[in-house]
Amino acid sequence: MNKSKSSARWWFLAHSWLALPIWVFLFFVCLTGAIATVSQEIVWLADSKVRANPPLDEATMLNYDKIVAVIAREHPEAVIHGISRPVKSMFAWTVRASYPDMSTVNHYVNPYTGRIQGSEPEGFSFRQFIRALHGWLLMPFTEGFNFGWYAVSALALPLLGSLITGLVVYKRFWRGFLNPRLRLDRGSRVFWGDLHRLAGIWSIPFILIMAVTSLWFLVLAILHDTHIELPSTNPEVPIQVARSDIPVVAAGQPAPRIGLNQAAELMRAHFPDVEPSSLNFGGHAFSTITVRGQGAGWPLLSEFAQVNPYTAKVEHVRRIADRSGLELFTGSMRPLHTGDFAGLWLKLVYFVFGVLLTAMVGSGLLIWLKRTVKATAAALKGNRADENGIDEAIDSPLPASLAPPEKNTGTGFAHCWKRWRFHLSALLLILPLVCLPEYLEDQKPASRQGLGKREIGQFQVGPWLVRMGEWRIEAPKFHDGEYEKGFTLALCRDCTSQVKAAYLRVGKPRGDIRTSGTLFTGSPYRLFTSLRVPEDLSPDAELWLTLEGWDGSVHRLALPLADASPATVKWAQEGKVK
Amino acid sequence: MTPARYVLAAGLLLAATSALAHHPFGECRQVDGKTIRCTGGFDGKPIPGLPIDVLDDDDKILIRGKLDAEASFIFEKPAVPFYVLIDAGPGQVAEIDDAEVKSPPPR
Repeated sequence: MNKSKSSARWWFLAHSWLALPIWVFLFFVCLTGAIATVSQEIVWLADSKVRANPPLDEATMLNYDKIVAVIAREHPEAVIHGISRPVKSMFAWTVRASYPDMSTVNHYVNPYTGRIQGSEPEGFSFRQFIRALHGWLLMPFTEGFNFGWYAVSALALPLLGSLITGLVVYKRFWRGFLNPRLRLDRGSRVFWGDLHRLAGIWSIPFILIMAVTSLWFLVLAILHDTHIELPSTNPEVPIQVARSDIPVVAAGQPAPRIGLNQAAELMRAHFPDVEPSSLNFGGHAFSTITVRGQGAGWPLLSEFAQVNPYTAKVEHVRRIADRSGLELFTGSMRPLHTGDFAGLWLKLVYFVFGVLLTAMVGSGLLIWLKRTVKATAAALKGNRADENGIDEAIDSPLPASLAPPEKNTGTGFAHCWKRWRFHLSALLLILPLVCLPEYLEDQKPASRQGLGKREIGQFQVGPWLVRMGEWRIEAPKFHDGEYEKGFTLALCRDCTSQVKAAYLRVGKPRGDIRTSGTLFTGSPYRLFTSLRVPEDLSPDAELWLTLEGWDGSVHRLALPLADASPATVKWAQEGKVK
Repeated sequence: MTPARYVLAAGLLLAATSALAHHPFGECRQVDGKTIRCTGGFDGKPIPGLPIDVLDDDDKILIRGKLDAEASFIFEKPAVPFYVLIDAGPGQVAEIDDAEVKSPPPR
C-alpha cells in the first residue's frame, strides 16, 4: 500500500513539474508584451536615424510635399507609396518607396532639415520581431489565424480567471492600496508573496484591460475562421477613382495629380482638429490618396479622408461618429492593448505595468517552484514524517491570482484536460524556436523581392516589356465563394511612367476595357493580382494580360495556362476527372 | 477582416496579399421571352446603385442604367448578341454573356 501511495505521489510531483511550462508560457508572453509596448521607443534609443532632432536655430517642420520631394530628388527611380509618422513628434517621417530591384525601402527623413537620416529595406526589424514573438510565437500565417495567435490570445481566459479568483480570494484587496506591504526581512518566499499581491492589486485595471483586449483577439480569430462577419458601417464597395475622372494624356507621362499638401488641406477641411500622420498614394492608378490622423474626440481610432488625386474631390471621409458602437469597441481593442494612442507617457505607463504583471507571473512561478522543489526534495528523502507536510504543501492552492479557472475537476473531461494541457504548453515553448528559422528567412529583404515562387518569363506587350511570375506554386484557392490564384508582374523601368494599369483574366477580354479582369496593384516594379478562376476552367485556357497606357492605348498578351501555372492546369484536369 | 488585413492594419507587414481580393458578382435571368432581369453586388452582398451596361458584340453600349433598390435591373432583351457589365469600379466588374442568361424560373 505504501508503495502505491509513494508511486502516486511521484506521479503527482511529475504532474506538478509538468505544469511549469504554462507559467513559463504566460511569463514569456507578458515579458515579450511589455517589451513590445516600448519597442518603437527602444528603436528610437538604439537607432539615431529614426529620430527627429530639430536643429537648434530653426524648428519649422517641412511640409508633406517637401518630404516626398527629398526622396524623389535623391532617388529618382523610386516609386513612393506614402509617408507616415508615429504619434510622437520625436520621430522622423518614414517614406516608403520601392525600387526596380523589387525591394521596398523605408527612408527616415528628418522633418526639420529634410535630410535622409537612414534607409533600410523592409524586412527584419526589432519591432516586428518582438510583436510577432509576443502575438503569434513567430508562426507563419497561411490559412486564417495561426495556432500561435490562438495560443497566446487564449491566455486571456486564465488571465481573466486569475483576476476574478484573485479578487475573490484576497478579500478586501483595496486595503493594499492604502497599506502596501512588502516585507524584505522575512525570507524570499514572503517577499515574493508580498510582491505578488502588491503587484496584483495595483495592476487590477491593467490586467483587466489586457484580459479583455486579449479576449477580443481570440474572438476576432474565431469570428474570422468561422466566417462570421460583424455588422460594418464601412462602404460596401471599396472607394476608387472613377475611370472617367482620369484625364487621357500624351504618351510617356502619367496624368497630373494633386500633391500631399493639397490632399492634407482637403482632409483638414473635414477634420480641422486632426493632424495627418499617414498619407498614402494607394496601390494603383484608381486609388485615392488616403490622409489619416488620430481621431480628435477618440484618440484610440483614426479618422481619414480619401481624396481623388485627379479631381481633388474628397470621395469618402470616415469619422469617429460614422462608426457604430460595436465598431468603436472592437476597433479600440488593439490600441488599448498596445497603449499606442496618447504618446510616450502612456507607453511608459503600459511598460511599467507590463513589467509588474511579468514580475507577478514570475513571482507566482517562484512561489510555486519553491513549493514543488521542497516537496520533491522531501520526497527524495522519503521521510514519512515530512510526508503529511509535503502533501499539504502540494495540496495548498496555487497563488490565486495566477490560477486558471478550474471547474468540475472530477469529471473525465477535466481529468483529460489537466493531463493534456501540459503537453500542449510544452509544445508552445518550442514553437517560437521551431518557427524562428522560417521567420528569419521570410523577413530577409531578398525573400521579399522577386516575383513569387516561379518566374513565368519576360514578355513584350505592345511597346512595353514585362516580367510575370506565379506567386505560389499551388492550385487556385477558394476564397469568399470564388477560386483565386495569385500572379505577379514587373514593368520595365521606363514603362512605369507610361502604364496606367495592368489587368489579368482567364479567356480573351472583349473590346471594353472593363472586361480586362482583375487589377494588378502594388509597386509597378512588383505588382500583384488575385486572378478570378472559373470553377469549370479548361486546362487549355489562356490567361490574358492587358496593359493600359496613360495615353489611352491598350495592349494585350495571351499566355497559355500551361506556361503561366502548371499547378493550375493540373487542378483543372483533376476537376474534369471528377 | 482577414488576418492579413488585420495585421496590416496593425502596422505589421505580411506577404499574404492573396487574401485581399474582392469579388463583384452578377446574375441575369429571363423574366419572359422579351425581358431580362439582372442582379448584382459585391462580396456576396447585393449593392443598389451599381452602374450596369448592356453592350453588343462590338462593345457599343445599348442600354445604360443603375441597379435599383433591390440591386436589380430589368431591360428589354436586345435583338442582337449582347453582354452585361455590372461595374463596381476598375478591376471589379462582373461580366455576364448572353449565353449565361438563365431561363425563367419554372412556374
